[in-house]
Amino acid sequence: MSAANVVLRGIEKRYGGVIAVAGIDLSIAAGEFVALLGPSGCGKTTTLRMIAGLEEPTGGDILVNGRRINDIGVHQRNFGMVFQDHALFPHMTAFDNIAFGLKYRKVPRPDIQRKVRQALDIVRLPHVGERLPRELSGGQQQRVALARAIVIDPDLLLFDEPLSALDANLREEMRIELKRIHRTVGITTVFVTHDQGEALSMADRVVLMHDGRIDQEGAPEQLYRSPNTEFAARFFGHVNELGGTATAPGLVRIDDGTLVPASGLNLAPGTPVRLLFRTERARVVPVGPADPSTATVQGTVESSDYMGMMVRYVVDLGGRQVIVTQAVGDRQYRVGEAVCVKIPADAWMTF
Amino acid sequence: MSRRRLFHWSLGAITLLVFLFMLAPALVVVAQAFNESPSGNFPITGLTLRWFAALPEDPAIVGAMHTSLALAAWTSVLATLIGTAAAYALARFRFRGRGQVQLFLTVPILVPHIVLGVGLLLAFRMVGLSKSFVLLVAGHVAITLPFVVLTTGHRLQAIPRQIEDAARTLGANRLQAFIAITLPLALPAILTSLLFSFMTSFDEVTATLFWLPPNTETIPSHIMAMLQFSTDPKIHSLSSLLILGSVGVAVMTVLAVRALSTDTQGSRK
Amino acid sequence: MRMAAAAPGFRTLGDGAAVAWSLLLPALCCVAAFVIVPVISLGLYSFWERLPTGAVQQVFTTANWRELLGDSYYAGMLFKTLKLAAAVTLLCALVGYGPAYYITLLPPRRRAILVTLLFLPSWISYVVRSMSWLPILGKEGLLNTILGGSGLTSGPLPLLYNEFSVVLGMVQFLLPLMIVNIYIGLQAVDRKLVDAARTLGATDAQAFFAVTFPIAWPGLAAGCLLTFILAMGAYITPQILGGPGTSYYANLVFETFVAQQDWPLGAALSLVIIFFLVAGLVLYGRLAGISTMFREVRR
Repeated sequence: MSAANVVLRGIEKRYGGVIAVAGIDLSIAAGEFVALLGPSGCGKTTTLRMIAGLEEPTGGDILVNGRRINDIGVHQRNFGMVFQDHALFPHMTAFDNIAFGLKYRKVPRPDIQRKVRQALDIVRLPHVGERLPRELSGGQQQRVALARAIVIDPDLLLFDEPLSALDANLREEMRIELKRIHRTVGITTVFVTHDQGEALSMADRVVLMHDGRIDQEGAPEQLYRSPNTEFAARFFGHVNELGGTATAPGLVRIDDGTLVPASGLNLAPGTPVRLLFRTERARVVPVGPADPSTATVQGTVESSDYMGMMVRYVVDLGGRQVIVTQAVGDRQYRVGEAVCVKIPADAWMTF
Repeated sequence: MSRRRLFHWSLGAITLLVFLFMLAPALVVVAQAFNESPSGNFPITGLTLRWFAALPEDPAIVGAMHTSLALAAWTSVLATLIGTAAAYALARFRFRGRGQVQLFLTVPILVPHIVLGVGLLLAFRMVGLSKSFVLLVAGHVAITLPFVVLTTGHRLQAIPRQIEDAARTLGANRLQAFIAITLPLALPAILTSLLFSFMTSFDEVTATLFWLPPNTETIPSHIMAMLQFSTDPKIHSLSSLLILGSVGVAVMTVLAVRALSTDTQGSRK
Repeated sequence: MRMAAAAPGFRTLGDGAAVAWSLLLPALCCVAAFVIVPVISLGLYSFWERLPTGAVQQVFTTANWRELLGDSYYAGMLFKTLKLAAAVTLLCALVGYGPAYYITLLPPRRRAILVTLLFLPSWISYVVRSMSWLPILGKEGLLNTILGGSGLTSGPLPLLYNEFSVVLGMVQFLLPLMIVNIYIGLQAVDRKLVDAARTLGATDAQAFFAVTFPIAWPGLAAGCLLTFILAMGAYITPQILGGPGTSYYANLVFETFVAQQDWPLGAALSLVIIFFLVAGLVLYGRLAGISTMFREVRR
């Protein structure tokens, strides 16, 4: 299979006075799995559809293997696409659905048989060929849709939120399947989703989009640990916020008076500052002495949710509530108990 | 019996009565068609088929039948073609003025047939054209077009657009995608439009009376004429044939639609 | 500039708009040529002069309109037709609501059958349906035969060729339309809302009037509008089932046009009814919302 590299240069889409995509520059290497992630309305689906050729960019170029494809029609681009609602042809069997693309490529009959069987094997559904879409379960439908997209040996695989319509367990399963298939087949993949968990677990590279632009892109850990914008920080996981004023380099006095070390922070004394941190970077500990390298803030446990491996505490810090998730240790803190929340100096995110 | 069930049953009884009210007169006509008595009145004196046999002997009736069938055929084909194309454009494309166009195409429903009859005749006269078969077809298409647009439009909108997109990513161009995917799925609505516009054209009389060229009649206009000589017993047998024909077409339509329908989502309910 | 959550699947202006307009063109031409132009022609004709010979001269005159507005006969005819249409609409609504509601109580499969059955009579030509009342209502018709034979009446009842038979015929003709529209309106009511009302203490009847009826209102309104419009234009039924004294507006137009060959006056009369219906439509639009009407008319 020939995987292609894709370059988007200055891609823009306007509808009248409304801008859906405001200028995207993106390079996708051959064989890479890239996730376009973002809230609804951020332009990720529109971008995907422009790559597919279902929408025409009002500005910019799309290049595949160095060749500009803006003027090439959808049916000639040879990209496989999997849609949110599988979009299987309801009046054709699974076999005919998968064979559809092959017919337009004038593949001879015996080869069609072989290729369709192959595709069904890849998605692990060897026996559903004669069934109609409505006779298949949600997961099976999505897999047939995938087989239909792969069988044509596409240069690019495009996914438009394919898992959103499935229930939680199925989604998990399908995520693993898709990753496996990508490893086996190696086609360059662009995957649109609004689910950060999906993007983080599946992609080689995540492209976070916001208001028609790219907010940040990089490997999953990079986005998660080192977000460049508050939007990116807040998009992944849960983020707590504390307010305070800078007192000295690396030191902040937060609203309840506690002095808090924040490494790397260099603001003029008196500057108001908002400190953000992730729930899993903090820890609830018994009340005890402060320690210069870690912030220690006093508070009371509001609620504690036992989640099996982890426990989630909501702690009231003098009016502000923060959420802390930590491993279930020997010590469990009860509602109403006075505790300290410890936050390491390098856990803070400020923007 | 609980109050709920009593209510259910009385409502069912009312529905039955209403249904009989709507259907019974037609049954009476059919009964009269077999009535020996030429006056077409009760009581029924005997059963005979001669009023049916007399129908093909009557040249006026045969002529009217030809006209009606030809007119209905032309109307249904034209209206369905034009209307389905328009419905597809409205369902699949977004453009400025889409709402207005939709309104514009549906407005003719609200024009009373008598007004349409007079108006179209006047318009033709003003351009110097006289009454003709073309005038009849034009008028009938105008009458049935909105229904076609609404019926096929509704069905087309129910077909997820993504299915056509999928076909196009797989290598079909727009026309191929339409023929291979959209058309089969829209077939029930198209068939319904075809048959419905056929029946509407066949039955139309109010406006048609204004448009008939000399020496031309449609079946309904002929029936109106026959009613002036109310003693012609062929009127009952002719009407019976119409009733049977209409009911037959209606049943055929429903069965055909049932057979052709695939759930547009293709999903298990 | 707003950010759009672009609706995927639509081709926008520039993306195949040419294709869209070329698909629409035949339909637009048909409506423009065969509906709009005729209405304009009516307007023009109504201002032209009719010579005593019967020919029409294209000379501007307001004579037709003055006659129409001046002679109370025409206004009276309009009013009479209005009363008929209102009566027929009301009857259809009252008689039709029950069956429409009944259909919603049935399981889904039976529903489809019943709707089809209900629609069956409407496939029969309305000329036939109107005239099918003749053997029933006539002096020697079915009803009178039964009533006379069983001794309930002394002589034949005048059931035919009067307002009674006209109203009966029209109600029979328009009832399926009303029922279907009410039914569509009722379908929009989520059962769960009724359940919620009942858990909150409403009886079946109260839940119906507080929840079901208001939500299903657009269906009833659409049905009434369509029924009223069709009833206003009634020509065939009064012609077949009516007698002296049951001539309505459409019959008047026909008379004026065909019997009296007074085309300009006929044109003016036709325009009046259009204005009237447009006014009614605007009123309806204010009351019920135009979009709901189009949603309901779509079947």
